Amino acid sequence: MVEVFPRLLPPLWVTIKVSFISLFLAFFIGLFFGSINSVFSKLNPINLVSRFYVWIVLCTPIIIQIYAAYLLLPKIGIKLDVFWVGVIALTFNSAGYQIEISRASITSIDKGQYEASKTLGMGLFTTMIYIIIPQAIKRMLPATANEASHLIKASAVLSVIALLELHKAAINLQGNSFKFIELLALQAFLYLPIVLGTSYIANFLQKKNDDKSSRIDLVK
Amino acid sequence: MPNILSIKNLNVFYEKFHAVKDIDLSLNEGEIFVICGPSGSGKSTLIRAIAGLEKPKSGEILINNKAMNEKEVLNKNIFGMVFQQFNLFPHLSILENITLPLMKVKKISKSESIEIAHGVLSKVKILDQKDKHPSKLSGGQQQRCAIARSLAMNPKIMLFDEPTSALDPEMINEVLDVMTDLASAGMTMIIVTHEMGFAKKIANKIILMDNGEIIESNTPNNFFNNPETERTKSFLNQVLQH
Repeated sequence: MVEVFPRLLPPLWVTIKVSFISLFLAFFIGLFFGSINSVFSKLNPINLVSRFYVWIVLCTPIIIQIYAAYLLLPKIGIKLDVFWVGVIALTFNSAGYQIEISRASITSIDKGQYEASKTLGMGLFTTMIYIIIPQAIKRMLPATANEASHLIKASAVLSVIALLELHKAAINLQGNSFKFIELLALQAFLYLPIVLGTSYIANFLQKKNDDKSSRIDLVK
Repeated sequence: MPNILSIKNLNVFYEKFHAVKDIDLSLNEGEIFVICGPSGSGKSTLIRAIAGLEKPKSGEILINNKAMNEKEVLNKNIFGMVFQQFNLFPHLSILENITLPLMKVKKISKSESIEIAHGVLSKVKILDQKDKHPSKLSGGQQQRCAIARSLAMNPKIMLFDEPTSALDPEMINEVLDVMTDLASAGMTMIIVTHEMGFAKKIANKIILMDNGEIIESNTPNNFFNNPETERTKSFLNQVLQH
């Protein structure tokens, strides 16, 4: 056990990287389309496309999305390292959820905020950037933390496209050493601190915001 | 005093519902105009349409005898609007609530914005609260901050949509005092309110609205002591009963 442990650390780092890069990208994609979704009509072409996209993501298993990225990207001439294929697949998946999280948070902001901004002469873009989105991000935190922990665990599925992340590395070691149970436990033990750490950071951010302004504004 | 605002044949609809019917109004510079009426009478809709928050179906709004659409009205900061629910920005401090629109809309530098903010905050007597967030302030203080935020944009006319209706009774006076100060400083104001004593004291003209129409338009003295219509009499009986 002790001797295989160091061999799992580089793959652990891959897991962290692939999850957080995807989360970061998905967060901003989500915020962008979520904003457009909540301020423009349902029939706006961008909204129709993003609704369709969310629908695809939410209604198909992540393993199919990962295989699709792996098999289809080269077909359209995009040849990437398997790590970046993993990032694209996870971002594709997570952005679907993030759009929904952003949309829900932005629509929950009181319409009085838009009206006050309007009467002060602020345009819609200024209002979104300085008034609505900062408040919405605060409300997005709990759900985004949830999504982060989901994403970290879902990154294990990237083993199917042979990305050497934590789970794939453990499978390889199981094949060599036949210590199935031990490696299973060790993997689980290594996922735990990342997920816990993420929710700790989310709690910390939320507390920090909580002190700064109103309590009743938080969803939680 | 020159005419600053006239409204001609203003009609506002909410889908099929005719909320404001053929309203004509005229207001001179420095005048205080009070709108009262039962709920659902269209008084809020009228003031919101003037502010540019509701799109009128027909009618004209003239500022200094020049017709303007909602866009121009909003972009030129003709009106300062004060809402019943304050609508301060909860994620910003009191000071930032005032400086942000100055910097983003009027493109004024940060240091100059802070100077303007200090000026308006001391006018409404909450300069000592400037670094707090709105949720840490009482309702009356929040409403005074909202007034300061509108004043900072240097509007021609201040609009008040039931500014004291969401306040505890003890806090109503501090807001009314600020409004009285503004009036004596010569600000033109349109006020929707249920505070009849205040209306009587401050107004140059009072109108009563019901069902989207102006029932009576009168001087405060005549309005309270010698109303022209039965509807005004019964309204006053209702609101002055206690």
